[in-house]
Amino acid sequence: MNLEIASLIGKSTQDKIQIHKGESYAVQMPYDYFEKLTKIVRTSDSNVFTNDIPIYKRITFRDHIK
Amino acid sequence: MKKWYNSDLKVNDLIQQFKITDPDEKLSKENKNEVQKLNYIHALLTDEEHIVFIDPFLHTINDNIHLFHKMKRQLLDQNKSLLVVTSRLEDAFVLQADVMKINDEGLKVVETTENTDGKESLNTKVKVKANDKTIFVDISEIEFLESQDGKVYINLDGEKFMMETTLQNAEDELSGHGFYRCHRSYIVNLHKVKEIITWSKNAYSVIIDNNEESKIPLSRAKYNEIQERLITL
Repeated sequence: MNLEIASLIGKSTQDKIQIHKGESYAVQMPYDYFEKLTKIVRTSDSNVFTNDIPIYKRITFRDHIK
Repeated sequence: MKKWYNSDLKVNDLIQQFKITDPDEKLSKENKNEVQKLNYIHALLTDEEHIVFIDPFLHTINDNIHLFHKMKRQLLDQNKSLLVVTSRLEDAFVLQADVMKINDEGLKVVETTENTDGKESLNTKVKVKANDKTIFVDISEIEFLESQDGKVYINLDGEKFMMETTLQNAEDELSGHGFYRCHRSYIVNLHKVKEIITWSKNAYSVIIDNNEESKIPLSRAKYNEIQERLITL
């Protein structure tokens, strides 16, 4: 998966992050980019986890994992 | 054995590994620390190849950060990728030593080479900028300094002020006051250090004794030296 920086910051640049399986990447960016980043990576083969976790109050922890 | 996203991982093993204290309790927003662990478990269970976490270390307790690193190791073993995006530079270093940074100018790698030097100063205050005002801050109150985008900021009591200097000059000025260059982009006041945490073999943090328990990146090469400095402080 390639993360094209131009699509994130809205400016022309050749910069990109090449995401390889089995590797980890730490990236700092302004909070303002989070929403756009989420939309971009969700269109690829990605699963995005945020701190805004949906909670179904009638379901137990165990059931959430099953 | 129950399955989620067709995973072969066992539910009870995951509950034990990620220390879900009461698995048969119903979820609630008050139980944020426990709910956070569900994200880690779901990341392992999903069949997607690429996992992205947005600001996972913001207001996260240290026990959960350790669990996050456990999840990271397992994700990489599963041959998945892990992209962690943070709003604060110090949080990116909680994951690993190699960090990238994106701003409106593009992408760059945050350098982590070391450069230490120092000379003592007898000053008790430093001059900082707060909007259009110049104020003077007691050096002993400073918790840590950080360099971002060529500017130096001092942090104290939850506030951040710009200092018109370079990090190298700040280090020269403050080293005689118990400050230590723990990372290329950070200087900490050793008097404000609460503890040092090892997240993984190449990710360390200095924890500041403030309300937020700020996590300041610690270079691997400085791990032993800072402990000696803290002992002899």
